[in-house]
Amino acid sequence: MPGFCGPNGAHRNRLTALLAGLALLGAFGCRPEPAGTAATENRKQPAPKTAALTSPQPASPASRQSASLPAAPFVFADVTDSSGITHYYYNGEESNQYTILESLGGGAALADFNRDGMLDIVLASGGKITSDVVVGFSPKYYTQAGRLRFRPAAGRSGFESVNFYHHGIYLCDYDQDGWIDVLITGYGRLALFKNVHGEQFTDVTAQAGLDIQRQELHWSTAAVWADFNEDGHSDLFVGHYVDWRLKNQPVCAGYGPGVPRDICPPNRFAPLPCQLFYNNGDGTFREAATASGLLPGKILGAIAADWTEDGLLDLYVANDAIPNQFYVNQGDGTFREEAVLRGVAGGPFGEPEGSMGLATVSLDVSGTRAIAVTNYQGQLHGLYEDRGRGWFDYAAARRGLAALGTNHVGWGIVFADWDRDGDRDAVIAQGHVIRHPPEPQSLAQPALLLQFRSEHEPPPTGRFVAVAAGGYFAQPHRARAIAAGDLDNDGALDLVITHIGEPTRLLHNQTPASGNWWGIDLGCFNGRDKSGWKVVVEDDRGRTQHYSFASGEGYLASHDMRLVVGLGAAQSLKRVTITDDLGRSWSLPESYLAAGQYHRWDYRSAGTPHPPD
Amino acid sequence: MSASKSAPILAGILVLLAGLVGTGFWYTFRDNGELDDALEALRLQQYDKARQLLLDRLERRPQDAHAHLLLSRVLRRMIPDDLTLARQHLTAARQLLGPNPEVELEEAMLICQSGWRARETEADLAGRVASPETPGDVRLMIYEALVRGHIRAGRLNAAIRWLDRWIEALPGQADAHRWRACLLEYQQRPHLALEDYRALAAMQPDNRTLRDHQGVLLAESGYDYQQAIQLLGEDFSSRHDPRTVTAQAICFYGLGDLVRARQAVGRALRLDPSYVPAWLWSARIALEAGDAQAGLQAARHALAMLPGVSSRQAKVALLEQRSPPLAHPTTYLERLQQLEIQALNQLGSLQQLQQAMERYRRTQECLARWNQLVENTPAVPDLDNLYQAAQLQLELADCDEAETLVQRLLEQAPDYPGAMQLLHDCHERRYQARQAMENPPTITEP
Repeated sequence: MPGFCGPNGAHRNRLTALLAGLALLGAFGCRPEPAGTAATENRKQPAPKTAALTSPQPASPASRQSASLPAAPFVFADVTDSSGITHYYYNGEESNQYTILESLGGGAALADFNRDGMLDIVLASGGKITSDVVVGFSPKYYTQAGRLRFRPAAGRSGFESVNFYHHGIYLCDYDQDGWIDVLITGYGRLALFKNVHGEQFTDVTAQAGLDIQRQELHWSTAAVWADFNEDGHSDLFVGHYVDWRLKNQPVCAGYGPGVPRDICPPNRFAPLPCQLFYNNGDGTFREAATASGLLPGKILGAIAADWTEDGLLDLYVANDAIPNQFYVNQGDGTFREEAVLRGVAGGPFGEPEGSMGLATVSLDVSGTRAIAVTNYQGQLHGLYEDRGRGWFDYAAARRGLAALGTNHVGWGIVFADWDRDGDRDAVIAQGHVIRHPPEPQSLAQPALLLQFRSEHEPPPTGRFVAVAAGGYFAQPHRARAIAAGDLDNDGALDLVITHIGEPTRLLHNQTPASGNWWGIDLGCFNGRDKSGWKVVVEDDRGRTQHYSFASGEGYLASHDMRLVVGLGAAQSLKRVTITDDLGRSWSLPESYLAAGQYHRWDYRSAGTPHPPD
Repeated sequence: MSASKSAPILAGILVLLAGLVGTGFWYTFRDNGELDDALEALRLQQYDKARQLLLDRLERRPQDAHAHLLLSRVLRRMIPDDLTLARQHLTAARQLLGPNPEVELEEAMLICQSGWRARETEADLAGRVASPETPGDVRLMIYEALVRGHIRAGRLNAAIRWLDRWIEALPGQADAHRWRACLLEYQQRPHLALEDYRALAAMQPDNRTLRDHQGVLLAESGYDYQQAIQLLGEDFSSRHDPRTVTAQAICFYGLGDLVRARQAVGRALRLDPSYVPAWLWSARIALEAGDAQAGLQAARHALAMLPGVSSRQAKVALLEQRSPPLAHPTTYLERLQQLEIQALNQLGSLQQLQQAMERYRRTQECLARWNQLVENTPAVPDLDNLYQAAQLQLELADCDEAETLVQRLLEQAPDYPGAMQLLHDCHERRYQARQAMENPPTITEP
């Protein structure tokens, strides 16, 4: 959130100010001061009531701008009302304490928890903040009854035991029993829930050895399930945010005229260490040594993939207002931070940004991989193209993200082929962090819908173009997480979007398909996370599509683990090659190539792979 | 003497008397008119005219206390001000008038405008502006003095607080909006600055420069490239201001037109080869266009030109209600070093990359040490604090700061070891920067 956080000139200024006090006309040190510190504290205007936060917002400049955007070929219908989902994330802002805690929001996770062939949903519920305590509300578990109808889990889901204010929902079958388990991150602790045959979730945090009680580890946010030590079991990285407590809650002035108080910027708080737990393979974890090379951060997002192409999963971490971190896995239990060196530390000039959500995408026929980062107001949403082996080029302008401007705050981001034309499009959830952003910023902001223009489409090609859609996308929201998944198994990915101050929405993708599709389930149903896996699909028209997987994509959310490939004008598949994180590859047999359906593939029964290159 | 003889003499005396009286009236009238003209010129902010009128008057009437007082005010309010001379005239006025509320008010404003942290005086002035009995023109003067004093001392947030009050109390003041806009822009809070520029534009709808500046700000902040280019226009070949042309280049970059972005930034550099931001953007745009060699060349040249950006220039610009075009030199240092790394990353030059990384790490270490130093510096810095601070500022490319610190050190300890060397290093660095500015590399365009 660095719009929050002006450039780091505050400290530099102090000595100068000190000297200026010593002698008249002292050293002139008027470097940029942190925005919203003392500058606005005397601007008089009554503080808007909290109710204003939840009432509809006037159209933001961004939404006004959407009128000039090309029309989207995508159609998303808001089916929340008919879905049976009546969920609200509570961030505790009603207590009017202006805590930074309330700014993050909560996540959503989509998976077939009960293995009935339909995606179910787990939603974070947040909590409330009183003057002396932060408490949590239980996450909600909805099972699908079919046709996009959901019902709260009958009886006790097990999540009732969650009494801490929470954010993220991350999925993995950590114990390889075939049932997808749930990790919940939040303030005060994290919790691991074992899925007991899809009927109930049991808190196994202590049993698994994840209940580390250390003073400095008190605000977990992003998590990544990935097999960092290549032992066949998913390990767990947990990122923490900042050292905020009710006891050290400062009072910060508002950021615009007439705002006496607002949420403090992250720069006011110290970063927290992160954690890495290695999976022992017996349902328990051990914490990695402190010498693992992982540094403290202000983490809101993290993804793992083998960018350096050495057979080891690396880790990219999105930090709020300090440089992002890129950890190269050394293969000996340690990581080396190389974000600046590899070009992924920050904005166009490497400057630290308020990074939130992360996603990866393969951009074109050559399979060029990229990492996208959503950022704070006053910053571009970033896109780093992998030139190979984890050496990145900043490419936000070239790929169209810069054209979105900087007048928005981005959170969840998902790349998917909404219209099945064979290109990966995107959605970015947006909404401001602070309560009273000064004009032309706005509290609520419309989600961005991006279409990737490939060479056979109208110019500009080879880049993302913002497109205007009606319904949900025409209105400003205070959105946070997005979970994408094919809720009705029709090959079109639907969206679940969480918010602050408004209900969670379910958007059904009703885009007229511009082509056939093919789907495959490589999720962690077989005990191995798909981080670092690659799928190359070649269709009957000779087009090749590359998909690379990274764990932890999005923001506090978990997407449908299945892969859906839009085939465009192609009618069928010619070849599909799957490469795992160890570099072994398999060519799928003919029976897996039928279009218009999902295939479930288990590497353990897939025969001898081709050896690694 | 007979009546017939005395009558002409009497008439002559009467005529003479009348002439004398008339002349006296004329002089009085003219002098009063002079003061009125000076006051009117002051009101219209025609400071040069007001000063000349008052100087003329004081040449004739050196003991005119009101002229001294008025001239002191003119010298204080003019841009740039001359506070030393203003104080001399105020002292003269005080000697001639004795205790006088007008002199006291002027004295208070002079103290505050000079940048002293004079809390009591500021509180006194605050009381005056809050009083409904204080006339509007006096309140305006007080606000102005307070704002200028805080800017002079580098207390920008305090200056903005006073501007907030000024604008609230006396709406429609172009000066206040312009000052606040400049300060907010300098503090990198463009969205707030834009509000003030919009208010100014509403007052001066035909002001093309204001319209351009809004476009520049929208482009530099990246808020809305489309709107920015609409305000600036796409034609950069007929533009002559490097900042505006660079802003057009930024818009083209943001909108993904890297070819035109490179052409525009090339023009900006031809207009002013010493304009650091254009080199910065030139490097960024070249890198994204895949021309790592050009990017590296631009980044390295700009690094050689540092400091190239002066804190003093920024101060003067702010005091003069001009938008300071440049950010802090350290910001440029960090950004250019990162661009150099990105370029070497693209070029795959590992050895050079490691060297660049080493330089970048050193900068980061300096920043960390500076922050630590600031944290641990006592209220009155000792000589070692000053020396270390000067050293670090030099490393961080801020020669102004380094020089100010070392001069302060030398005032207290003329023989402090290494101080003169530091001063020499500052000059050397400036000299090298000038040399680099005078020898720009060839600008490559697509």
